[in-house]
Amino acid sequence: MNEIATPQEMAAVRLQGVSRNYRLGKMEVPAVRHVDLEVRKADFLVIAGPSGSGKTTLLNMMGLIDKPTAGMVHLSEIDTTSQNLEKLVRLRRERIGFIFQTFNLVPVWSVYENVEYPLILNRVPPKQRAERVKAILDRVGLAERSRHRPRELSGGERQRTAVARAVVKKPEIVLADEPTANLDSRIGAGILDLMRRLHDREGITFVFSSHDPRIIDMADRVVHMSDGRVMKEVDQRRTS
Amino acid sequence: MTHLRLGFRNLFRQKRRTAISLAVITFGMGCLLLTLLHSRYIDWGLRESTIHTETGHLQIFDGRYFTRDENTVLEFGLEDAAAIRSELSDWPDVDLILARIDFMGLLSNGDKSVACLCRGVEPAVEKELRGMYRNAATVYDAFNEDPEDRESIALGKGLARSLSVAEGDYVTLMSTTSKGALNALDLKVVGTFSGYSSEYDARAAVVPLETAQMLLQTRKVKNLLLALNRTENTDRVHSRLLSWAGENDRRLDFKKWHERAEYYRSVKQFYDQMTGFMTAVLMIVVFFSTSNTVVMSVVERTREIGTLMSLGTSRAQTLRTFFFEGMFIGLIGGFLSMVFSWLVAVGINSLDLELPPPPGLSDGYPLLFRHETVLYLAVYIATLLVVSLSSLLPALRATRLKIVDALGHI
Repeated sequence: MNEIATPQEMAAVRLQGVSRNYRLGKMEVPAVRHVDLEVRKADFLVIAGPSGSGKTTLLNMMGLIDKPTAGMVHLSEIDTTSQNLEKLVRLRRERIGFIFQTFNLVPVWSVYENVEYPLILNRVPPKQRAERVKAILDRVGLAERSRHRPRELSGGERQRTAVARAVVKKPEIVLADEPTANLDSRIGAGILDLMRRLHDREGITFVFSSHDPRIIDMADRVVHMSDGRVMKEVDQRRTS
Repeated sequence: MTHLRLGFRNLFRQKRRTAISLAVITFGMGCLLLTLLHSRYIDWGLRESTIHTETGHLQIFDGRYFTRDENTVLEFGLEDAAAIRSELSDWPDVDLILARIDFMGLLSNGDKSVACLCRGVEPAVEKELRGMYRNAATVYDAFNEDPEDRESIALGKGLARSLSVAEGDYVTLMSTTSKGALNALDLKVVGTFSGYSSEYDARAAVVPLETAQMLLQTRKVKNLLLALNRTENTDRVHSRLLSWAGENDRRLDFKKWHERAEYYRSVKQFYDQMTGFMTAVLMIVVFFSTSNTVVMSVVERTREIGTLMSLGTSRAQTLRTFFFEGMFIGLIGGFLSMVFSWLVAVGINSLDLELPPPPGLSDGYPLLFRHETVLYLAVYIATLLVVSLSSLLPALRATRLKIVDALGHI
């Protein structure tokens, strides 16, 4: 699936001097200012900060759904800022998984179809597709709910479906924007636990944007942002 | 396939809106189809009635008839009509051959004289020509077939009224003979008739062919009419006539029925213009209605579009999803419009309704629809195309969305 081999020591994402300004009328408003950041493979990293600190904008640029005004974004050492639209679509399709605060499932599709979709986009053969969808639904505890539509699911089940959709294609990095913000604390904790297990077992790189202390507490690395700048980086990796 | 499936399922998200769109398409395209079916009936009915009451399928004239002016009546009439008739009568496609003479005359009741357009006909063959198109007694029934009783005339209703004569009265018909002299015959009024228009009724008269020849003192006829077994064979028989005339060195001119049917041509042109205008209007209504539905879908699903694009859905795939949605509306709407039109057409056809006569005409005409598979298919395909195309513009709009903006859409 990946067209360039990525040695273990490569960064999953590397941001160099990244800035993003938005135009509000005649004003240029900076959302992210001169950020240098390296997300290593198999990181479990949280971008923390208050609302408006620029963490979602940073996440969007890592996910190649927004372009920096200045600076460079490297995904597995590929300079994405020089890629055309078609290439960016392919990079997203093959290498990046997204989890959204509001789940963003396709309401007319079943759980199974929602999870299957990224594999269809990546032209995974039907038999292999079915095996992978079943396996991931088993892992997130939704095997029994696979034929249900999103409206028939609880908030937690919807977010587990979204997690399954994000990881089913075995991406290099999963970007989760406030994944627990719409869930109560018990269910949110369950989702976090699920992502932590997927990270630990599959070695998937997770990057969250959040100000949820539970996520921050669970992360290996925390990048604190304020006013569009990285204020500090904390490595919380536990040593066994 | 996935995007086809998504396009189909999207129809059921906003069931009411989809239903309204389908209703607009069904009613709009259904009405268009009904208009076309009725127009086709008018075309077919008028064509066949013109052929079977007026023109026949083909007409044979002397070769000089249309190129030179006659100095005397029937100067360029057919002299050897009987020979031509006997040669053509056993052609397989030819059902009937009729002879006719048209001439100007002056009709008098003794007190008043009125100019008239006279036609000399063979009543028995004319009756046969009308065949299935004769749903009531015609003026030709009034003529006695006894050759001893040929001195009779049928008058247009307006002409009879103008001369204050009725059936059984006598009138005098005067005309110049083929040699240029004046001649007159006393004729018994055997009936009255009405034609296409009141103007025609005020001037028209019909006499037996022999009576006309007696008055004009000639054995010639103006032309011969051929009635074929099928209208569709007209071109083939026309070509055969041309080669037959060439081979036999006959200087004749052959006219197809529509070349001699000015009234038919003007009515057809009117209906073509009317249906063309209605087609344009109804298609525009359907186009914008469907386009509006897809625009609403795009707006409502902006965040979903952003999500799918962030997962790696290309612009082309996004475009296809919405295009398929429009296409499905077109497929279903087209089918419903065909069913709707068929039911209405069958229902109205069974009611035997008649529309009032248009201005200037004497008779009304039936409100009927002629079912033609090709029209049903044409409207179905047109619906599919119009509706699919109408979804393209909003679908293009969807593909141009910025993912970040789309994801932030509320």
